[in-house]
Amino acid sequence: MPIRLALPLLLAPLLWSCDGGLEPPPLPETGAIAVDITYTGRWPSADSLVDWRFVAMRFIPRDTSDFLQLNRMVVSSGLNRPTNAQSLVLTNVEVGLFFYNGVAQRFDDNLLSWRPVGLYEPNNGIFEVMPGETTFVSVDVDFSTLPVFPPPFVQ
Amino acid sequence: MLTSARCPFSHHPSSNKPVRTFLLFLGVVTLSLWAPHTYAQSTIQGQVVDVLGLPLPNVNLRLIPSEQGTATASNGQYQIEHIAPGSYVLRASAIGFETNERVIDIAPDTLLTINFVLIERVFTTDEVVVTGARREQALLDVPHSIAVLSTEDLTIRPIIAIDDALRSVSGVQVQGEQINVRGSSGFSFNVGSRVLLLLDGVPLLTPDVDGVPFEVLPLAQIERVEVFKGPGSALYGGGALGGVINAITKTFPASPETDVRLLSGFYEPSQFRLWRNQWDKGEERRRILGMSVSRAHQVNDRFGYWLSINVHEDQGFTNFSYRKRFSGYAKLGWQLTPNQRFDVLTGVLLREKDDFLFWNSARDALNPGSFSFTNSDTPQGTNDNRSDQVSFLPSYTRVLSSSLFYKVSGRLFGIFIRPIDNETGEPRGLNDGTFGFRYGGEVQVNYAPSASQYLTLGLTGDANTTRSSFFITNDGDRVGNQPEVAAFSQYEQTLGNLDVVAGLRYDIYRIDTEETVTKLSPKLSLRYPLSPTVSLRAAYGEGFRVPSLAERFVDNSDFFPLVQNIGLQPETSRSFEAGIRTTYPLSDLGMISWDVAAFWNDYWDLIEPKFVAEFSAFQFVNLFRARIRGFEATTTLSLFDAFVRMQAGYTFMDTEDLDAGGALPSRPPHLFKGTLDIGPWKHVYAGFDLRLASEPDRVDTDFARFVPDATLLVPTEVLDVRVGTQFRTVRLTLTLKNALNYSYLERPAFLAPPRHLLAQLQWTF
Repeated sequence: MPIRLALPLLLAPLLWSCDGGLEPPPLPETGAIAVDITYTGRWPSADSLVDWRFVAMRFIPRDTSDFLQLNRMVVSSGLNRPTNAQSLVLTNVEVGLFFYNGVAQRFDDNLLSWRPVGLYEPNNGIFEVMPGETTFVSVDVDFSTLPVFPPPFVQ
Repeated sequence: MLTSARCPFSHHPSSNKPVRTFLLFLGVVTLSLWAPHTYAQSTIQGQVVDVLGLPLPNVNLRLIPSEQGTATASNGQYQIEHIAPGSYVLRASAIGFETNERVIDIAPDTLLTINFVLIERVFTTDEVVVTGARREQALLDVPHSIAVLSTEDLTIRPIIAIDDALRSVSGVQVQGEQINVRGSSGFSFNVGSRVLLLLDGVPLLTPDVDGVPFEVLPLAQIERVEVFKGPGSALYGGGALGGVINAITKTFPASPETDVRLLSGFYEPSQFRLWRNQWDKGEERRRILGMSVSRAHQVNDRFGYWLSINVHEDQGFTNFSYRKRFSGYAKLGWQLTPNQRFDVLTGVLLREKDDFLFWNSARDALNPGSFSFTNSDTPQGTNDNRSDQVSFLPSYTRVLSSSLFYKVSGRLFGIFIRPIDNETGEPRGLNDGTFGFRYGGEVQVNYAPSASQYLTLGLTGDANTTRSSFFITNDGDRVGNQPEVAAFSQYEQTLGNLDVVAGLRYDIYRIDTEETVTKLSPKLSLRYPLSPTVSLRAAYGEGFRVPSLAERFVDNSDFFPLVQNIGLQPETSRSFEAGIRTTYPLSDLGMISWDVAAFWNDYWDLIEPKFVAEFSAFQFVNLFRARIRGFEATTTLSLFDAFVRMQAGYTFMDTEDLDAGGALPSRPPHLFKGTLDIGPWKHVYAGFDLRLASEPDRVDTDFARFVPDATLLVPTEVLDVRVGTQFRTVRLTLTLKNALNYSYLERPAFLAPPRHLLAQLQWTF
């Protein structure tokens, strides 16, 4: 008798209805960013050029720790240095608005030692990547006039 | 009157008769204290069975007030030898059974046979625990919330480490290797635990990060695990801010007993092709293997032992999550005299492991995180090392009378961590890693002047010395010290029907070469039995946790930039609890019990890692005030002579950051645990564990800044199913963990294990 009453209890959790839980998010719509970079002025010393990349952020950074918000930015591979100009294309960029964009320099081994050296300025520095389209961006790096960081409007 | 000892001074010449007399007296007194007691000795033997006549192994037999005792062998038989004549109480007790006692008079040189029949109860009024008061007491008498995992609870589930078993306890969450009791901890990569782990009452905290070393515990020789919910600092000091977990080892069986366990299993591949395709081993069934062998025996009335060896390999279900370990433990016990006992518990753990810290993204969840703009070949979301630990825990107990005994214990715990070289795959030297020792001792006196009074007094001292390549300390070296001393006391008094417990502990910590921190931790508990089966309780306690050496001194940029914070202050807490505990028989059907408790906990200066713009680095800081309020309800049901056993527990937590507002990170508001076991029926038993948790209201903000998709949250809905069979001394259990293959997170940006099958074969002979 006990087993006949106990079996339904044992089988009860199999009736539990739940979804599968966490799933990989769907593949987002993507576009591309074509970047033209020009340099004027004297390049920094080689020992302060630990890394050099184009970075496009979906937010406005408040401090250097925001350079670690990788899920909210697009980062190119290392850029040529020193050079007068360079063009590159970033593909498979998730669509959306980018609010703070330009060339960034890592100046020592600290993972957070990054600073902007040149910013995209038209349209208050904001551009949008559209599905299936290429957005063209130009950045002028003037080593004699480096951008202020953090941006004045968040200080 | 002292007899039989020969006095060496009886023929000693002396010209001074009074001096000679005095010396004679002194010699007799001295020798009487040291001379072995000699008397015609007796033996008690017998067998312990259940109501069906089946022998019961591992039942504790204890002769009170002496410290002599043993445990029944697999055939239920026991024997206690060399007993001095006198009156005793022989007590037979086991978790899940009513305690049975006999008053006996032992004559010289006799052989007594005393058999016991124990009645099984899932929740027995005589279930014994020790953690609440540093001494044995009935569970119903404990004026706090406390949960007990019995030997059966630990055996029916193939458990790899104790944290695995703790997942079934109400109000307890396991996040990675971190234990969270009623929301007291968030998640901090096991740096600085707010739950204290004890082994036979001895604190175990790793000397570097004050983490909880669950893999140190010898699983095969653990009799039960007690979970004390609430601040335990008044008795156990720092580290017990949120609770105490005490693993109690088994006593020695009268007959030699060998236990062999073989564990085999595998993880299923992830159910999502996108994740599988991004890891070259994503399509594989990842292996789990383990073996443990232990042997125990009360060799004679003077000496007993158990030895345990365990080997375990887990390939892991994600990239960079491989683990391999070897551990060996031994407990030796000497009954020096009927009133003196010396025990030594010692162990070694050798372990190589990859630590998967966080995923690369929600679309690449099986690979650890990697920053595209670093030059490192090793993902930042992983940490691999060789970690070895040793432990040595001696203790001496002396019973001075039926109401007074004391215990002196020592402890030595060492850890050696060496990072794995990325190029050679071999461990680097200790100079590149961490090694440290935590060592100390304790004296505890227990005195019961009357049946309604009990006093516990103690002194304890510990030192913690650790050298790490990640530390920079006050004096510029890489060696951190944190000595501490404490005095504790607890007084219990029954006033009419009201049980009152008052405790106080005073701790003094010295932080490296800098300041001295002191802390006074009081507690007050009340218990009022409304009837033999219903009791009310209320408790107040204060707890604290001193920052670990790692939180204070870590200064390194190998993974993320971290800077030291020498000025860290201890975390403190204040806790209130009120509850009711009831047990009701259900005529011939069985028994049901409830435990309902409401709690209110306030915390100050909780330590969390935060980004500090001034240093462009992360730092452990005293962050905020917090409050956790809630209630917990647990019910236990046993039907048809324990053929059906159910337990269900619900915990609600309302957490609040009192400074910034909002909920605390990584604390789900709702937790539910359900357990059902049926059988045996024709040698077959079955059961399941159900764990439900709502998703936390938020994750840690700074963690979410740099870890992709760390804000993704899902509720927990996990079902473990088990079936097994036992024939004579062989037991086979198959467990399908996460049977519904539910995909969830135990902590942010870290997948919990998918469905995996474990088969355990246990042979006891």
